Amino acid sequence: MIGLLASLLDGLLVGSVYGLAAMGISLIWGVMDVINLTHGAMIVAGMFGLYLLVNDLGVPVYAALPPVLVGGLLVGVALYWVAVHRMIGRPPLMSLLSTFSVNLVLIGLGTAEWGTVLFNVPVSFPGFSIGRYTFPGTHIMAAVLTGVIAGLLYLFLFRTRPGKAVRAVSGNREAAELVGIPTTRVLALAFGLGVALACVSGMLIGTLFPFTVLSGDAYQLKSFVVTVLGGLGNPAGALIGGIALGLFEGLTTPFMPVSWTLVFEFVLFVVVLIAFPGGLLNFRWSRRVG
Amino acid sequence: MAGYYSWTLFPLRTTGIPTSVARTASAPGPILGRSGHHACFPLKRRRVLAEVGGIRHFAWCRAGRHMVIDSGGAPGTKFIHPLKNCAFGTASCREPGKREISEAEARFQESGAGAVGARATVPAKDWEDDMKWLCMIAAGAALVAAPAFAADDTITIGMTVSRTGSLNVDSVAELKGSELWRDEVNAAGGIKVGNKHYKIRFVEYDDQSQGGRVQQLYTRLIVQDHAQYLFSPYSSGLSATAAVITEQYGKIMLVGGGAEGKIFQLGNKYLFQCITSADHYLTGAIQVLKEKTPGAKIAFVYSDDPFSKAVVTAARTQAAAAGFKEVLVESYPASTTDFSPIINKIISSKADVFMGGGHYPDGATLARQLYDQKANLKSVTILVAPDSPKFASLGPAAVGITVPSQWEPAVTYKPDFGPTPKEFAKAYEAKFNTGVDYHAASGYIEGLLLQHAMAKAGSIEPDKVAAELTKLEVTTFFGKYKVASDANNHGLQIAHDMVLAQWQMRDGKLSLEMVWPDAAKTANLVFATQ
Repeated sequence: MIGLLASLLDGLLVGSVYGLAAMGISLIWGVMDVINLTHGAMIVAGMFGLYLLVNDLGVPVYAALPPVLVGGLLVGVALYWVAVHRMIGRPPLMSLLSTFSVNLVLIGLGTAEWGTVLFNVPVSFPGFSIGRYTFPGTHIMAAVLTGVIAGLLYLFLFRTRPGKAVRAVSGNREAAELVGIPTTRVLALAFGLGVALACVSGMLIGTLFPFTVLSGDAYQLKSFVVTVLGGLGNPAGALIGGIALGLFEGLTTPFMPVSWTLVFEFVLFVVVLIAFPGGLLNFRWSRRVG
Repeated sequence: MAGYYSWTLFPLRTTGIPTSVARTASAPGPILGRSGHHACFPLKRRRVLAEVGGIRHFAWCRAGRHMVIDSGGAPGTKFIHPLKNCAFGTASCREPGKREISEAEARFQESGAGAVGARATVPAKDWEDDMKWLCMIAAGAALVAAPAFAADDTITIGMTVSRTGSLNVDSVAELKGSELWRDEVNAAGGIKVGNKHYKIRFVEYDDQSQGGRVQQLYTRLIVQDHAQYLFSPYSSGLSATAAVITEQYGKIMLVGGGAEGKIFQLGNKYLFQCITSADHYLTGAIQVLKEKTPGAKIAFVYSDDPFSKAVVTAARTQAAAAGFKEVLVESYPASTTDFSPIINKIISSKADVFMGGGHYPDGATLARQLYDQKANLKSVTILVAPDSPKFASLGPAAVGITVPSQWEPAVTYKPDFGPTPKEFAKAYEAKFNTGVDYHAASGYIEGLLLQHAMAKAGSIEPDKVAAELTKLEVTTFFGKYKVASDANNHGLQIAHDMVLAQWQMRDGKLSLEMVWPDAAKTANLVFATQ
């Protein structure tokens, strides 16, 4: 029984980090209808940002978060102008291909620079134990920071003018333009935010597990499942979807071979797509007009 | 005569699959398609080989040469000659028991229009004449195609390396070992075989850790780059894929990176395993445990790739025989990044010994999470990953982890020939400025054994070298070498022993110490409480 509880708690902790990663994809889709396939590469960029800051510059582990966040935002805005801007309003396949190409280029560059060698950032942070089960401090810290970042994102979107502009553009781009919102800049900002979320989640994952240049793919795949669970284009739903997926993993693994978990996850993915195309948690974060 | 036939000639060694087709006859007979099924036959006389859509195909050649006939993938192909030892889908084959691939292939067919009627009436004598004619042309083409190898005094060895993808760390180390051997041999003037000296040339490609690439690239290595000998790619899965190709072309492949024994049970004749097979990977670890903690509870958690599966399947039998209790058996997909659920299961199972893992990234992640989640294990044995010097980057999580190893620099084997373990390690570290591990040693040993077998055979002819490799029984810096010679396990390594190594803290620094067998140990096994 304690085993199941431990498993669930673990799922909750790790699931929230999946959720953070998925929030990035979801935000970008929600605002500009672009499926961002550089997501995996950006998660890896966050991991390597952490590694370089901690290993080469001696920055304390969690102090690496602000620079990774800001760096991610800048990279994201740059990426918007390079690969996404011309694809806005075109068929989704165009932006899919364009971001996928950028993804391949980035992964190729990373492989050339670092190889596919494993990198590890040792973090010692006290955790706690229930009976024989230990919850590492890094997992708890990652979940807490995820909560903080999600809260900040919420405040930004609902309480600040640029945030409201992002929601306005998401709701109806033409109407937003009519009332004087510089939509192109807002789109770039939203893309930057999405990438920054990916980078930060990568950084947090980097504190939990060792990683390689190729690690991003697995998390990108998870992000898609989570996004579908939570409802496409809905960042809050993505976070909850991530936690749901984590709990699902935690609930199933004690009862079945681990290799089956992935199978069930994707069965769930298909079932949700068919039965609830809008996502399990389809509450609206901004009303679409017109 | 000429009016009835069209035939094509192409040198096999330059293209493998015909790229240019010369039509020498005036008849408008169909040239057979390039992508069809090919059947090949050991032939001494002309034979009717196949019937395609009512048209019969003939082939004929000199004794000892081989013919390929191409049915063009036409539906309704009926092979009349019994198809034994034949490969489909490739443009070449070998005769059972013979190593040589034909210098040229001639294809000819009874052409459509005029010949169909004439076929039945052509007297046997005429056929013989035609065939002789054709055979002379084929022989001529063979002469033209003869300069197949780059140079007379160079031996080309082909291989793929996982420069990218998940197997990168171990695979590149193996390549470096082979390169060290090549450079040493070339610096010494080449391999001496009989009275001749041969220089070594490598052709290698990146297989991206993917089986599909291996299949393409080994074909390319043989057909286009004229590799005479091959070294295996890294990992059991990729080696098995490569073996299909090399065996088809009758090329010798030394397997230094594939421990799984299954490929040696398929009747392959030109594969030679240089490393301990997967069945004996954990034998040492189990023996040590039996002395230290008899009756321990073991959790087997392993990657679902062929190598890890083979290792764990054999280890489970051995563990049961040694009186251990297995409390958890679980495999995970190789792409797994988070092991927390599995580790919770290990904790729930109350195991005190852990055995498993797979290759590099998953093994290292497992070690890190076992440490983070304090799994309370007395002994942790992880395959492959901990043997890499890079494993030390895990810091405290690496302490106490044991790894079955094919070789360690500290072993004390007395070699019959070649460098001593110390000399090898020193040369490797001097050349590449990085720590040496068993992957590097297994890369070197592939070359060393090939060199020795060639020198002993006094020939670079593959059949003679293969015979030598089959009966060889030697000790090198890498340990013993002897392979099974019976048809059921041909080429399987049966003499080489594993050692067991453990990461220990020495003067505040992590080092990999040998803890088993006693004869070679540099430190005592420490039972870690994680």
